[in-house]
Amino acid sequence: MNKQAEVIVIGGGVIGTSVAYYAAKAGKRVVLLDRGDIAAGTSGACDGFIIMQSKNPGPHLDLAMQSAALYRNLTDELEYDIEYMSCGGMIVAESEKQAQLLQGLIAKQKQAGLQVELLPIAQARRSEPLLAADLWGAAYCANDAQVNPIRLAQGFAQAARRLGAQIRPGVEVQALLVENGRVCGVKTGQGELRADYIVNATGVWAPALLSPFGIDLPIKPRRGQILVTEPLPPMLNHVLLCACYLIAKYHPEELDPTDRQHRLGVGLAVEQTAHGSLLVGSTREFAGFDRKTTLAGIEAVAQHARRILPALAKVNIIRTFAGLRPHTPDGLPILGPVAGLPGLIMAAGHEGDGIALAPITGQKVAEYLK
Amino acid sequence: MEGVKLTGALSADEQASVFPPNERAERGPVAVIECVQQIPCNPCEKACPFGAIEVGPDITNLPRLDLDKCRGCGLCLSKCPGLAIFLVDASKSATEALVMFPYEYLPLPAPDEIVDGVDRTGRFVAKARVVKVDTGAQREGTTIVTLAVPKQTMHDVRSMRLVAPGEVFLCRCCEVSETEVRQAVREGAKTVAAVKMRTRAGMGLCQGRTCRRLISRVIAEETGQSPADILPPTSRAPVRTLSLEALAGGDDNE
Repeated sequence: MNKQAEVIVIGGGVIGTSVAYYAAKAGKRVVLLDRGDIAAGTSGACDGFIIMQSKNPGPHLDLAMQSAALYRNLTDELEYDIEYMSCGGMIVAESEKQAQLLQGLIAKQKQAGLQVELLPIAQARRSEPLLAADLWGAAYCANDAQVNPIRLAQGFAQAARRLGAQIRPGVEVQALLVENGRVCGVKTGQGELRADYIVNATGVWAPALLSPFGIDLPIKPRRGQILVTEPLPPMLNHVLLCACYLIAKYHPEELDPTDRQHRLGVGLAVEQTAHGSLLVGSTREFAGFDRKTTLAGIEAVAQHARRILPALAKVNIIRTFAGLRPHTPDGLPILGPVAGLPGLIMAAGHEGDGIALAPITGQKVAEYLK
Repeated sequence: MEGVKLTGALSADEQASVFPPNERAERGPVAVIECVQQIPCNPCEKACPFGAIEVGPDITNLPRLDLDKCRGCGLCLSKCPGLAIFLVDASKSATEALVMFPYEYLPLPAPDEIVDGVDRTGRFVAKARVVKVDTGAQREGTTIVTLAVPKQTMHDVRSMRLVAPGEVFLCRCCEVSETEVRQAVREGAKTVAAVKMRTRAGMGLCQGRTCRRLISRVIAEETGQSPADILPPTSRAPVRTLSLEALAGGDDNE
């Protein structure tokens, strides 16, 4: 059978569409397959944080900073409004102890070239007046930004299509095809397709394609529940995280198992979208592939938001949703070739960093395919 | 798939259960209370100055109209939160009847303007002439439009559309036009959820309660499917908007 493409990308989320775009831009013949629709999985059920100061100094932060640089021109490059806003971000510390944890991270981030400033609460409230007065303060970074993930994936997909890529939603990949020890294509519900490289960008669903080969990819779905408010006049100046988010992410051993918010991994993540709604998140729970919201989850998120931003108490919630973040044990995405399966390239496992790292992931994978 | 619960519009049987006899409409204006779902609601009862509408102590009772007490004043029309009360009057002419209905859209029509009389699902029934547009203070924001319609259509015409409407918004919360929805369907969105992802239709305050059936219908029209085969969007909590405070509930911890 002839090859239909040079690159087959599996998965139409922000990562898959980014890979398709950068590979098409590099001149590759690309086919993108998704069993559902563009951004119908995790990318359509998350917030839009492009946050630098939550990244660990090292490859994680380096990639994020390169990604941030790509974002600055992306709206023009894709000729599509991805609702990118260079708003800056704050990580809120409730206590002295949390501030110390941030201080340690900030010192290392400064060495890596990221400017982050720890502000006492009075100073933080000058630029973010809705923060509770009895918090310790917040770490501020001007490089943090936000984007609309659904529009990001759609923008990548449309731009890739203009560059000749085939974008095919509604095509489910059932298995990888292997010949002479090399992955050479995919078996889909609509027949077989062949290519030089197959990119697995299916996020939390990525392990299923590798398990028939005895490869146990360490990606687990971690559920995040998010509340959506009614559209509101501009009221937040930054994307906001709280230090609990970093603790849940990097130091789960510090969490108190008797505290429900800790048990659900609740760390505040609030942004105001271009349409005025606030997205208020989020839990971080291991609940298998269950994408439903739970009363305990949304209640815990609401309680935490009320604690950090008391002014939100009267704001109306119009929707709740949950998405599955692809968690890896070391908090880093799985990128690049897979030992024992030449021809297969991984681009999955970004957990909460998929939005921040989408452009650089696409660019790096495209470079590798050369 | 029939009936207000499934389609948002009364079935023929449901209509028959609420229409006054034609003789009554021939005598003069009379209310038509198109309320067939037992929901806890009774503002109509208090709205009537003549005591013609009775719900009774059980607030989920369907309202009963006393056809002899009803004077056809129309005060109940703008008090019904469900916009389910209309007025018909077949006494004015041999060929035309008057139909009054609440109309909460802009721009408003002008008296004597010829408009499209439409049925409960928005489909064209007959050309109609605007007789009166009442935005009076007692209407509290709900305008009442009176149309003169061919007499045989007085139980079908329940709203109107301007002949040159400009853009029609299918999703009023997010102001997504019919044109945008059709475009999205032509670009491959074949479910209500897919249209939502592309256009934001259904992401606003009402969470698609108003627009999802209209979007299903557009998808059906564009793809030749039956509206019953179009997948509905995922319903998500909360059913009604709730304040963050109410969701947060009591103590911060167990």
